[in-house]
Amino acid sequence: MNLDYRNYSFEDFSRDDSFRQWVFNPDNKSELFWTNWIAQNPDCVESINSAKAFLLTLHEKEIALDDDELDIITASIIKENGVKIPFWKTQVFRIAASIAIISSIAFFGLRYYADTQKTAFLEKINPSLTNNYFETENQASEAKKITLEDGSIVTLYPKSRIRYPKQFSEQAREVYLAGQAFFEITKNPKQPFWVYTNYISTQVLGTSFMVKAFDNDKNVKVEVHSGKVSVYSREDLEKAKLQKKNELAGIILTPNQVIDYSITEARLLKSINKHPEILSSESPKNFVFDEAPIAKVFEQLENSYGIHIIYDEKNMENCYLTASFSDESLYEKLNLICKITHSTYEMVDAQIVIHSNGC
Amino acid sequence: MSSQGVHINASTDSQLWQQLKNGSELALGKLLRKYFNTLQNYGYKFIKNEDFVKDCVQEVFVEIWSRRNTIAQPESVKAYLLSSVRKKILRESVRQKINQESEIINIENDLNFAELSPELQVIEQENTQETIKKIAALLNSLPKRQREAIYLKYYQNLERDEIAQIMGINAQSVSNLLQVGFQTIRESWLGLFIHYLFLLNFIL
Repeated sequence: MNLDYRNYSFEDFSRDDSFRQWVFNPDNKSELFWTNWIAQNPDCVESINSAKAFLLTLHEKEIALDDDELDIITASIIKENGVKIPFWKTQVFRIAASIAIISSIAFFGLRYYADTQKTAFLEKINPSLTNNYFETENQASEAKKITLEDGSIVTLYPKSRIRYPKQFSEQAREVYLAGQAFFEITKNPKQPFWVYTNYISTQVLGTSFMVKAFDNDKNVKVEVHSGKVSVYSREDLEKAKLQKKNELAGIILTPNQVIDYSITEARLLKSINKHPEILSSESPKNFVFDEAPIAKVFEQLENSYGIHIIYDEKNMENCYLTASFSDESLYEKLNLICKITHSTYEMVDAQIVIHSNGC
Repeated sequence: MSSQGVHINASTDSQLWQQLKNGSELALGKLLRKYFNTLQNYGYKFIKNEDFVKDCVQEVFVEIWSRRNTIAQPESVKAYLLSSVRKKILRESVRQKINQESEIINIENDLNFAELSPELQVIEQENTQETIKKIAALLNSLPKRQREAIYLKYYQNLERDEIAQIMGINAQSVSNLLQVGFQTIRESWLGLFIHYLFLLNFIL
């Protein structure tokens, strides 16, 4: 065997199982064998190196999934292959069907709506959402804009799907979303705009906001950019509809606030956006404080960001701040202020609470 | 020697295939474990988009599994899978091209080799890296059919008939492609060897 290798050309090496194994998946045994062999046959080193380089060139890129990942794929193939394939769940299937979906608005039958519960839920909201609707799915890699009949604009993100009635009802504009979309809604108090997802529903008057609710995500998210929205869990909404109550246990969201809905915990959690933005274009971008009372500072931040700041006025009445801010984020500003005033801050229910021992 | 290896493979593969046809989920899993990565690597040679390639490979398996009752027993399972992936990728990439909204996929219908992948840069020594760069340039300078035949023979370790099946040409054409392609490589290789010997002289 070893002798044989001496007559090998690099082509022969390239096709030799033992050699290939050493190049692609070296283990101790093959490493030992081939290093020894090369040491004993130094004159063959060029053929070996060339063959190795040749194979590695062909190999080029390691896109190897491990056995666990592969088993997951197997499981999903077996699972998918019931009679119906849950259409939007498989990227694969989407590619196969892409021809059918290429037109910007596609008409979908109910056939893939295996989740009858979902259908029932939509039917309850508005029968048009199950029998007379348009549905758009974004297959592309970039977000895509859809203008609804009322002039509202929906920016649908990739891998997302939106369904809306061919004609909105007179009482409400209702859409169903799976995935992520940014909404810019035209104002119409008489016809509130509702975005339904599997777990939460968002009611809007006139505003812009983002909803993120992918089918297989454990968390659902709503982010407000302007205006006000209220968010309800689907359960609460159904209960209220059942009891014909007008009061709803929703949570109101204002700009720079985010609602997270954890599916596993089934609760809504309000917090501040990761990157709060200065809301109105009128408020200055640069803050300059010269020996300013801390109350003034907080007031300005509150107004600029639309976020409530809670602090003990009495405790901090002797705190003054001299600082100038420009591009710092809200959090950076808070960190600085807290450092100067020997305090700390925390977020509670989308508000900022300042703890201070006084100055 | 290597042909022996292929035969052993072939017999287990066709057993697995038979089991798969009988609805064995285990057999599907085994085939997937055995060939998924190799198929991805092949697909990646056409389109440098890992997600797209992965989806195509997965869909090939989905189709096989869903048609398991009626699917034929291929002579070479590996060749059948490779040719299915090849067809799938070329077909899907054309579809994506039709869909102008989609710019995900940068379509390169020819098999291509990167000059040097970051992975290799990390693991290989400098002089091997140099050689790899040269070989990649050399391979990419070959006509695409020759390039693909060489890849299938030397990377996927396939026999002539299997390559013929995948590329949809007859066996003699495969031999011709390989012969002409390798002739070019051998000639340029000489240059590389001399380079090597020169280096060795320096070191020794």
